[in-house]
Amino acid sequence: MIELKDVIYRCQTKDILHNISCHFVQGQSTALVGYNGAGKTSLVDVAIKRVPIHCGYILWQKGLTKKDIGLVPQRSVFLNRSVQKNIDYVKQAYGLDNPLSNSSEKNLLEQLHLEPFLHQQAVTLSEGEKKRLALFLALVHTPKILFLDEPYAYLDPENNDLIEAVIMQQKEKGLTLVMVSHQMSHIKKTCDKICFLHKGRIVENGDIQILLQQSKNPLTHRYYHGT
Amino acid sequence: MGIVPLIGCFSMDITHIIILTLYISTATLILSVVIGFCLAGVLVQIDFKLKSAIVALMHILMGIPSVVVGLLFFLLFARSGFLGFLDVLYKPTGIIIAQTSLVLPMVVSFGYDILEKKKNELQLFVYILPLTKTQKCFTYMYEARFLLVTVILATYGRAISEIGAVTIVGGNIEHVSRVLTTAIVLETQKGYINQALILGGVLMLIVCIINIISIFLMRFIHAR
Repeated sequence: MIELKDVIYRCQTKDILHNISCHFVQGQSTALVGYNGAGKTSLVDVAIKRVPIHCGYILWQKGLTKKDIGLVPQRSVFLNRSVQKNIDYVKQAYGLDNPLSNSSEKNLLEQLHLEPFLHQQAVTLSEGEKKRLALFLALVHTPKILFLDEPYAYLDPENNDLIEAVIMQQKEKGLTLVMVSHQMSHIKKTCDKICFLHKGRIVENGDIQILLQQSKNPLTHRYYHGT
Repeated sequence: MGIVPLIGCFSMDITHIIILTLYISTATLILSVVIGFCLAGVLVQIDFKLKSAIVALMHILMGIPSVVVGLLFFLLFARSGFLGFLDVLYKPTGIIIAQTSLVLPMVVSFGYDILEKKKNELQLFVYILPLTKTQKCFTYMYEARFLLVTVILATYGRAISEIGAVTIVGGNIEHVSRVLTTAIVLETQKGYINQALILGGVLMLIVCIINIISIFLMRFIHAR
């Protein structure tokens, strides 16, 4: 679906990503993991073409456009308007009709417990509520590939479960997922593949079950198993 | 001595002066805001080689003395000047053009700073949406509307209290190009301090109203 080949991403004079080659396959869910500063968020930015690359190429599957991509950013950002108006704005941008006309949208809104906040200013929501709204907005146009950058960060167990349930549901529907996370418990449940980054390089990339059982690299082993 | 008899003894038509002042400053404001915010939007949305140089130039031009701008436009609008064919010297149109050029760098600089900040703030929200650059720019403008209104008010304050360029390009001709600031200078030079004070009071009143609106707007922004 999206392929990166020999990508070098440089920010000012510092190389953030070195010769990155990987691909996100349709229907599969990939976890981007690694220690802080490994380049996970940069890899997402590069894959969605938000930042220009210095070398290599990014190949999007034929027909795939920005409209087919959903993004839950690490830091949730919204317009300084009500939740309802934020939803309307995003829907209008995607050329979708009347606000919340679709039953699946209503279900998603209900599932994410966002209905009570529709008239509240989006910027005044709590972190958990913001994450839920960001997930809703990323899914409102039924994307083909969803990028989740630390969707579980700063969340309490209840919000964690809520978001995980929605992600699992989307995965079952066949949505391609690319998730940046540090929480191995969620990754093990949600992802088929794992891509371990360290200092801007891919250290391991492959099937999650195989890597979790067979990885001998002390760096990744410690990350996966905590020992 | 009350104000009414003082106004009565004016050697000039004060109503005309106030109306002309408001007309010139409002026209200047509309022109500078429309052109300035459009330019700021272009600078924010389009990356090109000389962008940072233009932004720096706008910041520098903010501090240009108004008499220098006035002199420049006087030379341009003079009969033998490059724009002499326009025949706008000593006319309100000439003053409006000179004043617009004077305040434009301020509108562009502040507008650019505000929109750039808003763009960085909203980039993650807006980037993934299938919007054109113009649509994105309008979103930034709408989201920063209160701050942009403050820029508008500051511009109006600058335009209405301007004297250097107005004197040189306008010529302070009665019933043609005499505005509050030039009238104050004239009355003072003639020794009519009372009249100058009244005109100064009127100017202060207009500026105060603008500032009060500005303060309320800022409070409104902070309250949000």
